[in-house]
Amino acid sequence: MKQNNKLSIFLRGLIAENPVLVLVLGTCPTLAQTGSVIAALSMGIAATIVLACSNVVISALRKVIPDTVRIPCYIVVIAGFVTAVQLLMHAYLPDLYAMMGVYLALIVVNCIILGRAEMFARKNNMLDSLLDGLGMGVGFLLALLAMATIREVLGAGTFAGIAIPFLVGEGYSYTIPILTQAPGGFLVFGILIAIVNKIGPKKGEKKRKEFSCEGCPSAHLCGKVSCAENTELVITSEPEVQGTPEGKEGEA
Amino acid sequence: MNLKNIFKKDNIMPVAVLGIICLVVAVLVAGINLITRDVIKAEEDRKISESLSIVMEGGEFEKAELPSDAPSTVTAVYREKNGKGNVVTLTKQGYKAPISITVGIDAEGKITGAVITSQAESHGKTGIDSYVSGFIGSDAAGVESHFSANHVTGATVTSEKIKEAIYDAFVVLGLAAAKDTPDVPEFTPAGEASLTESEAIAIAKELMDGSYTKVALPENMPETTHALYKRQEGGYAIHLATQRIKWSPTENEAIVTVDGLGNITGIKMIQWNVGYDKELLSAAPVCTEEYLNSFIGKNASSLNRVEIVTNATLTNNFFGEALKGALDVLYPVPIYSIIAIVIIALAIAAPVAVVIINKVRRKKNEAK
Repeated sequence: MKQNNKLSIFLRGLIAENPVLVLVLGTCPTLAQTGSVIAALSMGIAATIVLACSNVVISALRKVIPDTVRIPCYIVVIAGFVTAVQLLMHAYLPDLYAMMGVYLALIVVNCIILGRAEMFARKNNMLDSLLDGLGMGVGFLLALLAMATIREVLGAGTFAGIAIPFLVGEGYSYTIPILTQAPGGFLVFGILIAIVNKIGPKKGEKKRKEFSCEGCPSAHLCGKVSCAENTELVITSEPEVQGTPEGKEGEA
Repeated sequence: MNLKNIFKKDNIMPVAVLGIICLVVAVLVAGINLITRDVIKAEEDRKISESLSIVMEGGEFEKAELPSDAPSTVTAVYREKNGKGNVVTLTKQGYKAPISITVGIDAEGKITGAVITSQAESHGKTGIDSYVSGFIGSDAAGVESHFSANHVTGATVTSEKIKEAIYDAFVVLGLAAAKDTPDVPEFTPAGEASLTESEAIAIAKELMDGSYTKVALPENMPETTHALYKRQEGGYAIHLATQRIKWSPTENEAIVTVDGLGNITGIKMIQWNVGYDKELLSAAPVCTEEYLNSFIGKNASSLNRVEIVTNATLTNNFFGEALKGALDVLYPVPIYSIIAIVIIALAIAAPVAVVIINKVRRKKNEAK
């Protein structure tokens, strides 16, 4: 049972709570670094390392860090890890470092990392925080890879820099160049979010119920019977809605 | 006793924990920097030596001595042993971080190749590389006229800096004139002014009514101030007169009135000869009401170089710099600055004082 819980912590970040496509966090690097698969992969891995490490350290220090200064403390820890990753990449992966440009340093202000520190790591033990960091990181990486694959293959006719024969070749090019540009990034991002919303946790429908007439203190004054019918609600306390079908009352 | 309570655990702990975390992180990062420093340096050197062969294929290079008047952007010059040309390495501050460029220039003064060896700009490597390769085949004039803004979308600063750095490569090789020589003054005081004392006072009265008397110029007054008239009711009328010596010689003259607080109340431009810029400036709002009004109400601290006239910074500088120079002498610390400093100091001190007083009071009450 416990193992299932651990697994669910890890898996949650992949699709159900995917940081990019469901929580819509970390949009800036997502749009900027998905022009090529290699750049997306590098960003995903770097962010995952920082996320996992910072989650573990913040979880370890959760009882030591006073509440009043927790955000500055998290930022310092995250910035420390980002600088370390930056220096190591500059030294040992210089080509990737050059490709990532300023976005590597901008991991410090990535909402996913600070968000997980605040929402998860400060309330859970180190192992759970590590799993959460890895899950969210891998979710981020997968979302970047999905976007980058679409943008690079359809936009440039290559995958990880390797030309795809039936898309580009001598004298022909069946590509959509705008996909490699910023507008193309937004288009692909929007479409992916729509797809995930459609097949995913149906967040939109849930929200509609949350914001319906149910629980509204002024519902009896509204008098919109059709509204109540559409949202499958019955307001029993008011004479104006007496005409509501009985079956619906039963449901209520 | 009360002071001791102020420094109790609840107040000290957050600061101490944050300080310790900062210290530990700083030590760790310094350690990693120590390990990677040499590797990064070696990698950068390797990139530069590789870039020499990229920008000038098949060349054999030897490092040449840098001339004393070389632009500050130039880091090294390498001569090709067989006389094919030269390769220049440059570093220029970009939008976010320094950009290092290697430029090859052949014996005919044309670019054979240009590559970026290090950068950390926001639009990634691909955009910059394609922009830089666009300079291949250009000579100094071609680089100067290269239209940069559109090439790296949304990165005008980076484009301009790269262009300036590549131009500097021509400068160090003596193939182009330096763009800016800081030791040459832009303006020199005009020997004579067109206005007499009475004419200047009459104009000053039109701008701000009052009785003016000519006073001696303070010792440290910039030479661009021709004369100074003190207003009995407070304030001054400043007679600015200069001759621009850079680019093309021109004369400029103006009367400016300033109130007792140091705020500009009126401006009258007497002469505004713009030299060879005349054609360019004819379409720009030089000396128009709108342009002159932009100075009204400003003081020494808020008066910065005004660049309303696009591409005519030098022309504007006569006015902006000459006026600021005069105001700085007349109103060394503008009264508004003092007020602002006092307000800021109060804003910081007041909450601290309130917290301390409350704590002391609470402790007293508890003791009672």
